[in-house]
Amino acid sequence: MAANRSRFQIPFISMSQEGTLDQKTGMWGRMRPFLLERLAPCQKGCPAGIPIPKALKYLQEKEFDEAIRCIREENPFPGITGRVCFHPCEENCNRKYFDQAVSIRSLERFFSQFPLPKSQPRETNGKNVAVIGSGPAGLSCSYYLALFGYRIILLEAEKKLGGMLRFGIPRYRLPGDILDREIENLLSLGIEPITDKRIGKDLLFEQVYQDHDAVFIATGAWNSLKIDIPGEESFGIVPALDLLKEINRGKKPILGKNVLVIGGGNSALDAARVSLRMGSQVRILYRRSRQEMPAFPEEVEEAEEEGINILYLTSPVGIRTRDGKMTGLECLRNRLTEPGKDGRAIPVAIPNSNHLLEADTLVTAVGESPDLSFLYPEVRLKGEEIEIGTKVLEKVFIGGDLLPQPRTVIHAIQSGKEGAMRIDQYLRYGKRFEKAPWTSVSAYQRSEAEAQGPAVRFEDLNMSYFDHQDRADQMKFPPYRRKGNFAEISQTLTEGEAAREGNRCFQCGVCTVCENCYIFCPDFVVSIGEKVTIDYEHCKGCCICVEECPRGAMTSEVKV
Amino acid sequence: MLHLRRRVPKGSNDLGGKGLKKILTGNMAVSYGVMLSRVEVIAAYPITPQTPIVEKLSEWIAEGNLQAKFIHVESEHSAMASVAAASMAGARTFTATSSQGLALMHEVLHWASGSRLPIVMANANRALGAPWNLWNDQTDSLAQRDTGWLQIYCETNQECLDSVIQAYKIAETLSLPVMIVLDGFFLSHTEEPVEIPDQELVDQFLPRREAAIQLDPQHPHVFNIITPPQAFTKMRQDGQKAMDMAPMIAAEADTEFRKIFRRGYDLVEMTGPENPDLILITMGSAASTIREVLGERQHEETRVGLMRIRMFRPFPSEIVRRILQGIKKVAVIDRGFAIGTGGVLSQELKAALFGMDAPPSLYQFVTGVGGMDITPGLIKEMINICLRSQESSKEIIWIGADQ
Amino acid sequence: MKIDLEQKEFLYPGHGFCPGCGFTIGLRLVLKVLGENTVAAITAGCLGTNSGTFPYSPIRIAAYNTVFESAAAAASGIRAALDVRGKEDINVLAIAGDGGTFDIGLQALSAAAERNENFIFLCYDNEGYMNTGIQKSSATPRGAWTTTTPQGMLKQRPKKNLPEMMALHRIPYMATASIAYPQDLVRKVEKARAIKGFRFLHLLTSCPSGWKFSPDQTVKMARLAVETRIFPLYEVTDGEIYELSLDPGYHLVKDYIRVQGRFQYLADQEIDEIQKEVDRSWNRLLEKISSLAEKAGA
Repeated sequence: MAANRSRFQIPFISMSQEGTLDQKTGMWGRMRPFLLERLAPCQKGCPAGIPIPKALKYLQEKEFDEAIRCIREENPFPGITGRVCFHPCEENCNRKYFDQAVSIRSLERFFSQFPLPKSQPRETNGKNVAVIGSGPAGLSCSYYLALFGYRIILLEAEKKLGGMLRFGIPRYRLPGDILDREIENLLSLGIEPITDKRIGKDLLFEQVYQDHDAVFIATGAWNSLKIDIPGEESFGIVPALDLLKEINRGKKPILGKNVLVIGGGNSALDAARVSLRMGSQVRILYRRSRQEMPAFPEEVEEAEEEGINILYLTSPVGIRTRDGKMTGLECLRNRLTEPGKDGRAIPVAIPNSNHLLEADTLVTAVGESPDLSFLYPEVRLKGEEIEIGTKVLEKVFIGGDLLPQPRTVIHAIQSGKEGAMRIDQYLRYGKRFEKAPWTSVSAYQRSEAEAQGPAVRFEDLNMSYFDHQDRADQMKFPPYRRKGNFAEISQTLTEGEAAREGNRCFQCGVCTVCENCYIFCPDFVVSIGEKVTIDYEHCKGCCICVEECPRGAMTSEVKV
Repeated sequence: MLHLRRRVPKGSNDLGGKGLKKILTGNMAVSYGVMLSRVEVIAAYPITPQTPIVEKLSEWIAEGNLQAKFIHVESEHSAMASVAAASMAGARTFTATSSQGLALMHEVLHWASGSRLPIVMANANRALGAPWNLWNDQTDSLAQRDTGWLQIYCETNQECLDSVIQAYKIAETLSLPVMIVLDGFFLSHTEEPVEIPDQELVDQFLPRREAAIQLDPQHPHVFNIITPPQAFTKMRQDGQKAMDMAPMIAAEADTEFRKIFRRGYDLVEMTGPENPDLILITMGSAASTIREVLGERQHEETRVGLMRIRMFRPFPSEIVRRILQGIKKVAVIDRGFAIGTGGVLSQELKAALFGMDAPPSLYQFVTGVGGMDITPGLIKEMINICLRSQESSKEIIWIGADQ
Repeated sequence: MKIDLEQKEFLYPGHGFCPGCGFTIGLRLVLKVLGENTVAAITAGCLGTNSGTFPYSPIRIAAYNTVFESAAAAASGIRAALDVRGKEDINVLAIAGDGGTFDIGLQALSAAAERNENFIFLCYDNEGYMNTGIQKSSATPRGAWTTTTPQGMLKQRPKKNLPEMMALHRIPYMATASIAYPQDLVRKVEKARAIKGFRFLHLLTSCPSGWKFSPDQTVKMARLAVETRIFPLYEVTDGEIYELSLDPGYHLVKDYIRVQGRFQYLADQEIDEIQKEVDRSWNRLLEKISSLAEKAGA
């Protein structure tokens, strides 16, 4: 009986004995989600590929040193670009589709004020490179080559380093002491600058070519183009670049009281606003409409705030003089027609619309061209190379405004960086690349693959996890404060403002370990260790993790 | 309903033990059985004629005489569901119902036996509508004969009390639920002398329930998950094996009960002369009336005996066949009837007798349904019909209702 | 978002719920808050069917499948059994779908609430009998397609307002929640855990299979339901104190309706009517909140 009885102690009933891990439900789905950190559009849109989300992440964590360090890896002059760059990053910023773009340039300027550990001169590898021209391209190339271990001689025709930075950009946009500070950071690497020496006059190019293993030429474009109207030789007509150079040298240029500036680019705006500060009354003439103006829109706005009138759709036809001095400018009105080859509308003069504009000074800013006559008589620029006759000068690499690329500071800086990489490849392996093998110097140094594919689009993000917050703009002085002086017109953001602004960065394409994928997974297959990993044996491929990733760092593919 | 009932207990006239003697209704007797069994969770819904059972229990809980939780459920379905869940969580549980309430719990009765839960339920028999009928009729409990519950039909109030206590022992050994069935009004509301056993002795017989498997966060399992055909069949087999052992386990429990309390009950109770010409088979309180009639005709030539089936489920086929070996005539007095099925007890009996070499002639009487009183007169009528006829009735013989 | 949660999992991967199921997201969070000292009563529906196939189960706590109607009754029984043996610290949780709460389970639910039984009743609401293939329940909203309310016979009556019904039972705590707001859900479960008596949690669990949208949109749908004010998030304490959990601003219900296949048969005019009804209900809720607050203040 007892033995029988024990059989009943535990009835055989439906009770679970094991978990369901053996059920490989990963076979159910077609889709396979995975973590793929991608380029943010700001970084992709930056000609120098500055790792903006990374820098802003450091800002969010209040690690300012790390932030400035990672910026300078790709851009040695954040104090400069933080003031004068045309910020394509902000144009591409995904935040603008939500409220307003992040104030990236202002943040770069904010970072640049933090002192860096002094760069030490590096051990050199025995090879030397000559850099001709100390504008942003030349300075940048010197910087990176010095980091790579080369001995650099930096040749500059003017008495001071800086090129367009020093002589082309007005002080109220880029103060002299800031420029000096930025250049100083670079020189402490052990670069030897030789100033006030012009090639073709004080030095022979041949000599430089012989004495160095490679030469980087970045002498810029300083030849102002003519406007080609009668009377252009009269007194009172001055090219914008010349005017800017004189003023930045500290001289007092000959400037009348009633100034007209011709042109729609930054030089025209710079020249106009500089003239204003010198006490003249200034108007700008532009042959197309406002939309087509190549100058940075904010320059145009600030000029108008300061009281400069812009006369659109107006072209000059002749200069009126008396006693050889300018008294006025005869103009025609234009209308716009079909877009031309460059996509911009072609202006056509309206017959009998002649009118006279009174003026005693005409500043021309209709374009510049490079002048390489200092090299050899028959030198030619062909794309990114220099030819003498049909021979390409092998040791010679060029950058900055010599290249067929947009003429901006950041493009110049990037061309210097790429020049350094190309020179490094050339000197190490004898290879001469037409295009630099990498965009990012840090990727180049680590031989890492650079992110391919499209940048994160706004549609890839999930706005449910962000709150609206107004963009922080730098405090700008009102026009009356700017009058008659060359002080900076805006103030750097405060730490509080910068921190709040940094938080507005979505961190597109970056996994910030927010754990959304972990919380919202219906199959519980997402683990957050150092990275996000997924147990594909049980993942049914619903891809909620991809949808709920606020930053577009998760993506999916069809299973093969 | 005035008739005498007299117990002729096997073995001893003594009501035994040190227990207190009281005049109790069947309902009260059940309540005492529950209290003495130290039931822990009770859920019940009122329905005539069982309501006084739970009323009494509520009173005792309020007074502190019974340390139990009472759930005032809103239907019998919930009563059984609550009690089953409580049983799964390891408590000793009880509920009581009748007729419509029992029918309402039907799916949960299956659920309880499938979950192998040792629940004890008292069912006070009452007719199942439509139409409404409040009085005694065994159809309600008989209609649940396929739910996997043991069913024990009581003849006296004493038996009701004792059966509740025995039921917990049996249920917790077999891991099967047990239904204690008492005739509505005839037992539930009629008073008789009952000895209330001593709590200490009951504790000796029936210790605290210690479930081998239960809902326990320390050993988490999920119960009653979807079960595929093979495993499901094996589980049913396992339940059947337990049910097969039920007669043996019940007999053992009764033996032990007798030792302690000096009285007991057979699964099948025989009364009357040796070698009877006719045996009347019935369940419940009608047996007492039959005893009276048998007592009166003791000295007649034709010998008539009584077989009272106490454990209806599992049907004690072996015992019944053994007893009916050589008996010429058998009359089933059915108090439960279903349209289309006929008398349920006679149907079960026929199945039990199948395959017997020389089965007795069978007379299927249906009487006492819908509260109809089975009087001595009706019993005599049935006896006469059987003795006079030669062959068994192929059809139901309705007794008592005007044809 | 980071939520301070128990690391341990109480559900296994490899379960049979649909890809993109909203319920599993919610249940996992609820179990993490309640922890392993919990016994659950579960009923027929998505959870009952997926509670396992013998001998496997994805559920790691002690749980008991009971018949469809009886989640609340079973939980009451479990509570009584645990209490009588002194195990009052164990959490008891009844889990039922909208079918087992609004329809067949309503009787037992109401009774348990009236008795103020000491357990948490979690209703996971996917607005239909989804497990059996998308049939209409009284939780199905107006205009939704189901197999029993097909085109031409769409459900005209609005969704039954069960949260209010439960609040009227004057239970200690009633709260609505949505899987798209996990911090809110966790807070409410934590709050419920600390209260004794009957606690009712109404969790909106979006269902890609039944509502007809792509499985990666599950959380978005549960969010839109709240943002469009179709499913307000609020709590009621003791039947008296109403607290709105979130004011989502104003979003058109059209944004919710037009992205789900189950609403494809609704005409613009009907959507306008639904918008009006949603606005009315929302305003009524706000009125209730402010008038009760006034009374409390006075």
